[in-house]
Amino acid sequence: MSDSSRPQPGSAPRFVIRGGLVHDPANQPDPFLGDIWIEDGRVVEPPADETGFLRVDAVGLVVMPGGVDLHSHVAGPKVNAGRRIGPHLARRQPAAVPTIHATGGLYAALGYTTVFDAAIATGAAAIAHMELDELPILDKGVYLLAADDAAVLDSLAKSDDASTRRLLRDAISGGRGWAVKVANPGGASFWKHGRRGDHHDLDTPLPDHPITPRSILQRLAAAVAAIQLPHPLHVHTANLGLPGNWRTMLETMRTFDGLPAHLAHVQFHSYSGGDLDEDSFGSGVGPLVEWFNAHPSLTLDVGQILFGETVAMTGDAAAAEHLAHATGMPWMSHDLHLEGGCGVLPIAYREKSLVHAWQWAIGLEWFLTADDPWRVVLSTDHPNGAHFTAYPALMRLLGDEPFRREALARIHPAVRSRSPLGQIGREYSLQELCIVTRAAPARIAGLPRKGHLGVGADADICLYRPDPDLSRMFALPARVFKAGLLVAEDGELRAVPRGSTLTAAGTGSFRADAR
Amino acid sequence: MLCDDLNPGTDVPQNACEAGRKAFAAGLAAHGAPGAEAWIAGSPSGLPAALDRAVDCLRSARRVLVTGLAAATMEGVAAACDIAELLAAAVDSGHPDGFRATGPTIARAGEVTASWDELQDRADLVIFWFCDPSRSHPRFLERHLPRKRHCRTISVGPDEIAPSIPGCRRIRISQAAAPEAARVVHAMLAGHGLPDREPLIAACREIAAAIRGAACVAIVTVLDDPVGIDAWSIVHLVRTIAHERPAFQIPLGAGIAAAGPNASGAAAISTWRYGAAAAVARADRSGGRFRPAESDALRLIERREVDCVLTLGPLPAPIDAALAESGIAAVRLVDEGAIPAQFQTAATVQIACRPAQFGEGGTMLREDGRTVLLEPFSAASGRPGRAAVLQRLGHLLTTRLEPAAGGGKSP
Repeated sequence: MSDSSRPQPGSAPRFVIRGGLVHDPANQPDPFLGDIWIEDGRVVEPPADETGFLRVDAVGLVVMPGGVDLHSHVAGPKVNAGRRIGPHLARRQPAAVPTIHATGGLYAALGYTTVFDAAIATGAAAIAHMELDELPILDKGVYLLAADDAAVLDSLAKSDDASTRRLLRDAISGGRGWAVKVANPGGASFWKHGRRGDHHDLDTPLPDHPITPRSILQRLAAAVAAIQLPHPLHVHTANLGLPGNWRTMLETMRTFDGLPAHLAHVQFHSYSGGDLDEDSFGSGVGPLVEWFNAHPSLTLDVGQILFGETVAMTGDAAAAEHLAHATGMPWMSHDLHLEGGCGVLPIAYREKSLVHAWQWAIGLEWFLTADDPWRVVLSTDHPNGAHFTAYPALMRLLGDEPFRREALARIHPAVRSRSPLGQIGREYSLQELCIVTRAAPARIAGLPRKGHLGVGADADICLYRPDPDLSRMFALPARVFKAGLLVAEDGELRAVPRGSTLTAAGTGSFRADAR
Repeated sequence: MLCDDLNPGTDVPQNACEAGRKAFAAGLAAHGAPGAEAWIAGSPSGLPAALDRAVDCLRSARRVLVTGLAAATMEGVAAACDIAELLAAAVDSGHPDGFRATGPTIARAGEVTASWDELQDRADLVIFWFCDPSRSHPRFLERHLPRKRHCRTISVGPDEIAPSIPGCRRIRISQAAAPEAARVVHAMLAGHGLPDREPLIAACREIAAAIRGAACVAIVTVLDDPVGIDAWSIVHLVRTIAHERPAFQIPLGAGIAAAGPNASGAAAISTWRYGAAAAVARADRSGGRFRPAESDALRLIERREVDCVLTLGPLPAPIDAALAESGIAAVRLVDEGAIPAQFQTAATVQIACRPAQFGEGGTMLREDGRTVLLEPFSAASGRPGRAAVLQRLGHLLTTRLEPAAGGGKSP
């Protein structure tokens, strides 16, 4: 066995990561001191003959699988619009919406090795994939907004489940998608028919189809389950960002009634209050998390906001219009033919803003009161809530209660006094942070070779230096391996391999022949 | 504008518009015509020698500009951007974001737009705002103008800009008053105070009344003003209307006046690679330097801030003239049979390429956001397509470029 401790960049040698404190919650409930053997880009059994295996000394380091971002926005026309709408934000380091190349490098340097763009219109899939082909290092996939397709809506309205399944299957195959996303069910129809400021609930029939948003959710979730996509229906429900929308989210969760569904960026859907009244704004997390904890078929990502300037982008044009009118910011929207649309605008989250402080506290409340980390995914809905490079700061907020208390002391006093956050002492362990950033998103996304370090797993591996400052620890991995290649070291890129595009059609489960 | 009537084939497509048929016939006539593969300083040359000379030009330049991207497929644009990154060159796709003195409109006001088909699907009031799509976008009206009986059309602009649409209400306003008209209509809709400017007030009152009576308003524009005030004023107006009722702008591009068929694709790649649609001062995948009205092709050439230009296709007339006037070295990819005479001697290197529709296939992005796959032309000439030339050029540059000579690509 060689005693080299440094695999060469750009090559995929056989090597062993030796002596690290391994966090592999998918296979071991507790961290353990051990070795990870790698060959041909995969984790392998310890070999009988160790000859030819390089040694990477990980003694004193923390070893985790590569991060998996289940819900992000990194490519496609709306991301390009986000790059253009805020030139001042593009000049920041990092840019609020980085170039596609920078996106790959920044994610990799952070220890993330897989990312999904969570909202690609079916008609824009081809151009989005051209862009994603230039996203380096990471494995990547897209969720298609197939629920907005006119033909899908027609089939849903006619209760023609076979057609719905066929259309979704065709959209996923043709658009090389990984999952189906619904952004504000039926929202495009309400928006296009002029229901400005008249925010619908789940039981208001669409203006142009005899179907309600609730039926759309039910039928879509059933169809996605029937064609056996790796990831359940990815749900951005109605009334995003509006006071009182916790009721809509609760009804959304009830709607699925045992069907698997993933609830996206729940923070933006968990507000109390009413009548668009900011003063009555508050947290609606309590009843929501109670329901969520009791229903294991549901999973979620939080969509945490962190304070600072960013760019909001969504397939929910109505939500973007509402936000743009409230803030007076430049607003870009684009309605697609017969289908959906998007809205894009710059936004600044401020600690002293009542609403923004509530959003911050509500996201953390979700993290800290949801019982099962295996059903919770750390996300900021990049770039909507915050840039993905802020993940380490979020991890510190979750794992360091005194740090969180200091942060709480800086925000709007009304939120400090009314939010339950100050009474929550829970701290995420490293193992739990590993779950919500790696193991859980991989499992929820349906990636059997990601998010763990068992035999057969992709050798997407991060080595961290233990640090009481979790933000510092997770911001700068000592080494990051992607499919066995050393791609980043102390924040510097060492190799820029091409990642793979993850498509449902490339998995064994997807039923392309489902009828 | 890329038109899906122009499917590659050996015959002139019958369903194309007149402009399309002419363009296709001209390309077909030139396609495979005998002639040099390339020219060096006006003298015919073989392709290898021309590529060698092009490499020398690009390597020895102090600062290179890569432009004319709209002529190439997405694959060609990507190859050109690879070259720009090797050379740390400036890149300008020609998108209006790059040359507007007041900066990009999208950053000041945003834009509320829709796919072209939405015009027919939803609008019951269509306002042609100082434009005549029948000139710039043949078949746009034929294909997308709503046929519904209750749909109203209004044409706003001077006499010389008037689309020929039966029943279209003409409202005459001078071109110079376009931004003021948008402002006045906006003020009327918002209930703000009005300037004392008859007859503009009367004209705008009619427009505002039509908007108030509509269920869904579409405003069609063809804007290329270099300052950006026209663009800003109409975007602001559309945004205001859209808060009250469905409304959108259909911002048509340059149409048949565009420098190439893939203007939208070039802008898209420039944006995802460099963070800006045009006027990128230095090609850097980590984030280019966006310098609107400073690093656009025209200004870089006029100010002699570059000493070599790599252009993938025809340039807009003012840029073409500035390049001829400047004497700056150029590596030009030109359509076979379409060598512009004034550059036979002035340009350093010209390489004849198959036009995209007779080329090796590839992908383009239309102005309406749709991707179009081009099949390889069945009776292809022996000349290479642009993407192939650029890939060879990039390969030669990579192998010959000394580490200290260029900016280099970051890992």
